[in-house]
Amino acid sequence: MAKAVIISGATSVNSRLNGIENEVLAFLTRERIEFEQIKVRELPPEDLIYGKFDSPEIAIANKKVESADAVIVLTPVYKASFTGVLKTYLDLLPQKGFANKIILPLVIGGTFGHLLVIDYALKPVLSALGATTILNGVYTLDSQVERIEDNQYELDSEANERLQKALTDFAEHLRE
Amino acid sequence: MKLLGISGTITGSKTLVVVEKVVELARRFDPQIETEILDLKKFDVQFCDGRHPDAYAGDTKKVIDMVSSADSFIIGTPIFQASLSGALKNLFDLVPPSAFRNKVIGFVATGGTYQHYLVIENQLKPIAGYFRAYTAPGYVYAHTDHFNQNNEIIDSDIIVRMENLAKEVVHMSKMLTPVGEL
Repeated sequence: MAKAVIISGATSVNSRLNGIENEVLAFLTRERIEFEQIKVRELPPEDLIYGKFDSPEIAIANKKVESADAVIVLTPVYKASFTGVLKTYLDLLPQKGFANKIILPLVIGGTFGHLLVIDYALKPVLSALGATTILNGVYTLDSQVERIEDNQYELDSEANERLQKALTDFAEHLRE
Repeated sequence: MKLLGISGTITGSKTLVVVEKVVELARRFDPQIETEILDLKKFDVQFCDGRHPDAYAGDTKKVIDMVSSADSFIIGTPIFQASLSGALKNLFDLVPPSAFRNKVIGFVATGGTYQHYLVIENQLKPIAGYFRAYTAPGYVYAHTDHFNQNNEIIDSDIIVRMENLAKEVVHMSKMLTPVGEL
């Protein structure tokens, strides 16, 4: 059965990116697609920043990527690009670590002006990692994710519609 | 005028060698300029967590202040996954948008393959653009072949390119009055 891994490059635990991630988790559960998660923020910062390839926690994360058929990469936009947090983990993946995997980029930003971060900043890095099947990503605005109580988030219906469409397409690719 | 050389990596040593060399060449070109080196390896910088840049403490605050108080920059990165290092991107994430505004940046990169020359053009310059920095038109891409076994730069062509970059950055910094001060 096909398996997915979700890599989140959020910088804080209560990032609005969680609103997107929660929808992804719900979708994968509904579709009975097995998945694992890598929250880069929760990996040992020392191992990430010093590039410790032999760290046990990094090895566990890399194993999750290796055994997955598909990767969902989530990042907020920071300084018109992906976050440094995300990049420190991507730097620790083996060469061509994304080869033969279906990739779905999901990005959240403060302005629509930064939509092309997906194509100009993120995709070249995904390609360098060996990815050849990079699906159309989804770009969501901060303002389209509302924080409600108890660490829950509500996604704007227009944004959610685009996200669900991309996820459906993702699931179809995964079943092919 | 203060020129800050930033070596944007915790691992490896070639990036620092190139950054230091370009800064040294800039000082030789104009002995009046003040220079400083920010070697990320020497600072215990935390991950950006989205808080206001003023709210960081310790080494993290120190590096933010070093960047904010400089007038021009030589910024170096090793090539990781056809892009800048995560450590350097984290530094960019930490500093306020005003840190590089209307300041001059010269970029250098070090890599093990000649094929990644365009990383500066396509991955670093857009970030400088976000900051509204003045980017020097030239840049230096140093390959492992340009060094000897003691990590000294031995290739004469690359030394000329480093010298040109140093001159460009010094010249641009002097000529470009910050827009806010016009």
